[in-house]
Amino acid sequence: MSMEARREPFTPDPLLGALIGLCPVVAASDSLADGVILGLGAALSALVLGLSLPSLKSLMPARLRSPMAFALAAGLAALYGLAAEAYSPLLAKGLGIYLPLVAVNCLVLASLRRGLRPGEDSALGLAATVFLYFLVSVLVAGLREVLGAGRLTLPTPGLSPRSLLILESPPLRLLVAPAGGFMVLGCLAAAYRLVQRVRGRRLP
Amino acid sequence: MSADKSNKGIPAKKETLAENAVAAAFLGLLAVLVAAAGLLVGSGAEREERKALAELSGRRVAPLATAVGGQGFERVYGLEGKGARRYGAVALVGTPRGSALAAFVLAADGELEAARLLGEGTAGQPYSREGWFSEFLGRGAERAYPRTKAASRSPEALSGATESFAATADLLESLSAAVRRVAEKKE
Amino acid sequence: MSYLGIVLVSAFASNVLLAYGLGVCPAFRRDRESPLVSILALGLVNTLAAAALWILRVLVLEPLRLGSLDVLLFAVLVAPALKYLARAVASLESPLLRKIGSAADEAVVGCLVFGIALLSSRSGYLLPEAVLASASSCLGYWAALVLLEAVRERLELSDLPASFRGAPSVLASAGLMAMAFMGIDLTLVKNLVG
Repeated sequence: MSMEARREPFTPDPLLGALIGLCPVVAASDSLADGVILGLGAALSALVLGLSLPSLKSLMPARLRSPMAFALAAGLAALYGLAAEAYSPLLAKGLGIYLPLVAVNCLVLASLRRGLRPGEDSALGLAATVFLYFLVSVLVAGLREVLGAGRLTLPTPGLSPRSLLILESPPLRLLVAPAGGFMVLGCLAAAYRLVQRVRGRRLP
Repeated sequence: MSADKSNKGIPAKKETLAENAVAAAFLGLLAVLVAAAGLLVGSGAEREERKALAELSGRRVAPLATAVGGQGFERVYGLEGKGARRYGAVALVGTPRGSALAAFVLAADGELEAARLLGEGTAGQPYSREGWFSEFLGRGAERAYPRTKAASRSPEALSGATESFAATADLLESLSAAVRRVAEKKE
Repeated sequence: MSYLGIVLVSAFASNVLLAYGLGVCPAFRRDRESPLVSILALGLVNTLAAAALWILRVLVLEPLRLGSLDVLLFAVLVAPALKYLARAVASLESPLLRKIGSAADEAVVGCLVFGIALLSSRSGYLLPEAVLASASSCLGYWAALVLLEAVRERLELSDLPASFRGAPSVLASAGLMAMAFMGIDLTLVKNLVG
């Protein structure tokens, strides 16, 4: 039996571990297509900010860095929303206020703060965090749609996105409502904690 | 002493001005970029909307649309042709659980004359059933759907008032009012 | 819709926390201010943000067909102005106003304030209706938060499995509460008082 116990540093999953960026996942991601669009928006904004701000901040006046960085985040969110509208007008309109809200997503704001901090952080770490967020938000959205509506809506371009029928009679219709979103996240967060506990890790 | 102090103040002021100019230039560039992208996407969307309304109404769509702020629709178009003037809009119909895009043609008093489903956000929605919009045709002039508030509380109206029906009624009430405002301004 | 309808819809039928999922992250914070400070700070920031964004969007941007700029203008004009105002309030002598100011300063850049401002400015309301809707949304958020806090206190005393302790149980409870709020039917409210 090993007498050694070592606390390994690890970065928790942003959605299930650190519980950031929950707003779009809980209510709006009730279909796979919505989950992909919102997850991608947050991930891309966070990645672009995290990678560009360390070099851009030297060009920004020190006292105006935060407001300018936030304006950049808002600009990215606006541009992404317009791109989504051009790609699939119906999906983008259906998402309503959630596309502009990418600007104030906690993941994006965390990336913004990280980019403005002095010293260099690992770009690989940022990319991994962002990719995990995207993956989990798509997984949650897909799960909610399959179990709640029995189908998967694919994020195809044009006016009517394609749908795949998976289950004739979905078992948990509540899952496509925001109430279901809260419950799915709660259960997945508990499962994540159980897995980390078995691996000997404790969440902060 | 006071001369030194005032001399140090001038470079600091110049520096602040320079910083503000850099920030303003950056924000201006960002705003121009977003506005340009918005106009580009908006013009594409307008083109598609005109095409759908021209096909539905069989009339020519007026060159300038009127911007109206409403839930689910942004523009009202004038439809020119024989007889009284008509108005059209493409609007997002739906509830948080599913939405669809539909084109509507209305008379100047807000009465709905034609409707066509253009696309569905998720499959299997009630709007795709044949004749689903027919319940609303001929309604909307001056009154809500159904015609009076008292009627909307009757069991027959409520039993048909599923969430999708209620959402569409709200949308068309708002659209009828917008068309009446636009028609009044034109006169 | 009548003013009463707007209040009931914004506060309960379309509760911003339980129906829109806005402001979920701050709901997990333990170090919150007292209820009076929270409600006053949120109310101040939300109503001003909604009014400002409504004026910008409806009176300036939409007639120029530049509605897509509302996000950027919020970040560049509205948020800094609100932060400045919040800091001004936080620098006053009264301890209550100082707490309100600093709570408001923290709340400005977040999905709750921006989300409520967007909802109010894009719903086709007139300005007084938009301000009322944002104030009611904020009241509904605060009510949901108070209920959730009460549930959380009970959960802490319960014998939950280790993995469910803390945030997962609060999320699941929020789901059950959202289910209860779904019973306040939007269609019914609109037909009764709309």
